Amino acid sequence: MRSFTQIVLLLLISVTAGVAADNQKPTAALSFDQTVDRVVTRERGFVVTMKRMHPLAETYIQNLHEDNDHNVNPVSDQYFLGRLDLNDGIRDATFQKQHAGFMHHVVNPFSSALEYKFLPQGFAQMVILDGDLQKSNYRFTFVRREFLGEARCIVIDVQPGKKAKEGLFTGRIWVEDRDFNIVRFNGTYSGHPDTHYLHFDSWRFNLQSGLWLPSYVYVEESGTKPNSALFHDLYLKAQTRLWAYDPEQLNHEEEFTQIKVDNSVDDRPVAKDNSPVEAQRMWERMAEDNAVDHLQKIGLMAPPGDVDKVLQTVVDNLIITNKLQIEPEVRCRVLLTLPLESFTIGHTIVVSRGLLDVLPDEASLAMVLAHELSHLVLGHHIDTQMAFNDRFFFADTTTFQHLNFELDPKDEQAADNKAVELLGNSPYKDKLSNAGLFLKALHDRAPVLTNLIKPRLGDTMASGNTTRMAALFNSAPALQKQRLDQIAALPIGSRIKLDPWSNQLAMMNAKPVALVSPREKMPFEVTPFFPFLTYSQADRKLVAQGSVAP
Amino acid sequence: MKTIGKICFFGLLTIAPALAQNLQSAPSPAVRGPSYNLGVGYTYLSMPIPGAGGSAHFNGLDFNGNVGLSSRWGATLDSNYLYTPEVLGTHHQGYVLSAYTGPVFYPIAHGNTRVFVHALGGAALVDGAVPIAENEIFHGWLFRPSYAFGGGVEHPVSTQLALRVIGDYVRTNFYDATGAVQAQNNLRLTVNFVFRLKERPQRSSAQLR
Repeated sequence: MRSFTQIVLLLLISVTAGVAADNQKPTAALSFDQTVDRVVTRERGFVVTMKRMHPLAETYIQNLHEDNDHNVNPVSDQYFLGRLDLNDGIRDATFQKQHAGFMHHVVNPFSSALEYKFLPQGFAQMVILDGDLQKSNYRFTFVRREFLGEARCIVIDVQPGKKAKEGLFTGRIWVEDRDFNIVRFNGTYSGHPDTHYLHFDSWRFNLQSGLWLPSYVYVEESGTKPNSALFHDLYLKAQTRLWAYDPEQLNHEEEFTQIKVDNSVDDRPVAKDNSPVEAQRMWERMAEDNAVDHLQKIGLMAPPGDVDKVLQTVVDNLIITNKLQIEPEVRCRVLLTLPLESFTIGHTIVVSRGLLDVLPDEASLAMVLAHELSHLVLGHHIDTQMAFNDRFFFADTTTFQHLNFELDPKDEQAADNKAVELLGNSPYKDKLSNAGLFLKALHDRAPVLTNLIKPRLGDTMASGNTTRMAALFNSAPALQKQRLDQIAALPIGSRIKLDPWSNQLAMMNAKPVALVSPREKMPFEVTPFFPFLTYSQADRKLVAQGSVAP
Repeated sequence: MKTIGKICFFGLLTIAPALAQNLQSAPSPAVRGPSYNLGVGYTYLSMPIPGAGGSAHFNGLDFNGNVGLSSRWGATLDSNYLYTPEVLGTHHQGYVLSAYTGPVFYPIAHGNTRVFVHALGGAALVDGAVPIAENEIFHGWLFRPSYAFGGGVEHPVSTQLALRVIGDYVRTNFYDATGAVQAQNNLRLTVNFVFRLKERPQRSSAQLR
């Protein structure tokens, strides 16, 4: 059944690519009306394609408050991770650390009657402009032409018609003028005042030839009465990211045809037997590999790539300068989720994308990695139950309930002490004040950004009044929020770029920007997206071929 | 009673297709939040007097509070006081004091106008009179459980003020000419001004660009 779905999906992508290729042929100039017709046709095709896609959708919301000096700061946060399913309307099967029990619903059946409650499916909804886009329901107005990265776009204002039903999109769309795909839309849905449709800015990336898929959504609302406690309204910023589109990634079995049997005879010359110690190490490595493979297959861990190499370099620096002998070798991987966490799975050090994003410098990264490396040095062992594959036979969305790499607080304390020792012998020993500042910034925001700090799989960076690596925390200079040259932590999304199709990570290629005011420091904060849109490699080739024609 | 049943059945038939269409097409909101409103207005009640061959007409005030639990569901607390200076030529005044609570369902929303239905339960104190003979009346009061169901339309006239028109079937009890307690099938019409205590955010930075 899964193979059938894949075939259908590949066919769809091929057809879409075919249509894209057709559109490369020289065509007569289109009228605005004809352009809108093409946009509507493409968008309806997009909705059909999306129904066969099941990406992960991660939403992070920060509720804000403006004080009397007009400083805006986060006061609480919310986090959702789910797998998107558009088949029966918008559904979003969320990953939960703990299952909400029966008593939760008994005690608080109407929680939204007293406070705002964010709905994951409502944020997932923002990847779709209109599930049943009909030209007759809207008024389209040409605005201008504009480049969004490589994509030359036609900008169109879209408003529901006078007698249209509620729930239609109202705002602005950007349509790339090569295949008439909507690549960005910005606005909200029309509705009754009691229906909370938020304002959003939704971006799509050209992930495959002719296929533009939702990747980023930025949401922002600023309330009407920020100073009134009783009647204060929604005042928030949120980001939704989507990834794990590639159906091959979700296929847990490799294709049989990929298995190559070159030589059935093991011709290693000596020592075929494994000692009990080696057997124990191999057993632990098997548990480690099983867990890492599982996390990668369900889209929670990035495949090995360039960012791992950056981490590996820092770990190697620590190992070499401390003259450590660690067997088997230490590996580094990146968890694709936002919450700030790091942990070890056997000899694999895992750091979350969110944590990498907000770390201000290499010394701070070294601090995180030194802590995890210390667990390995101190022999804090992996749960070898994971060496049995049946332990992974559970629904993806219950991963956080089934896998737990959190260690005992005593082990954490021991790792902290050892990490200080490792860092003291490392090339980072003179640059640790920034690492301590990062911990201070984390400590400062931890009480309000509880969902950002809360680990899903591993160890927490801060808990209550304590942070990891207390020695560095105490020795760091005071946190001065008004000083422009003191960058203790970066905004979310500052370093890592994620390919939503393949889950590959890369370091962002953004030029350094001089800050104008302390307001622009935005440590751990949500910011808008403004990606540089590019055409997929295949589409670039199509253009290149077309341009050679006499 | 048969007529009321027919009206309800016809109403359901009319609402069902619109409801189905409405539920399918609207996008999911991203936030479910508290939505409170208070309503005050005029109410009229037509009450048949058991055994008297006619109906008494009451006028009065209605007070209600509503809380929105989701985009489709809410709960209401409704109370009203209705008065008539004379019950069916008995030279005796009458009044009805009632309080109800129950769920509200919004099957249709078109723009900012919403249609709703509700089913309410509570109690009613009925004070009235029943003619027994030519110059003889029986008068008294009765406090019994009571219920009501109906629906209406709500249309905002500004961001914080809306107009709500409600029609209800109300079931109360009172004595007949023999002194036995009889059920009464009343019809009630209410017109409310609704004051929204919470409204959707109107300003957003995304709009201000």
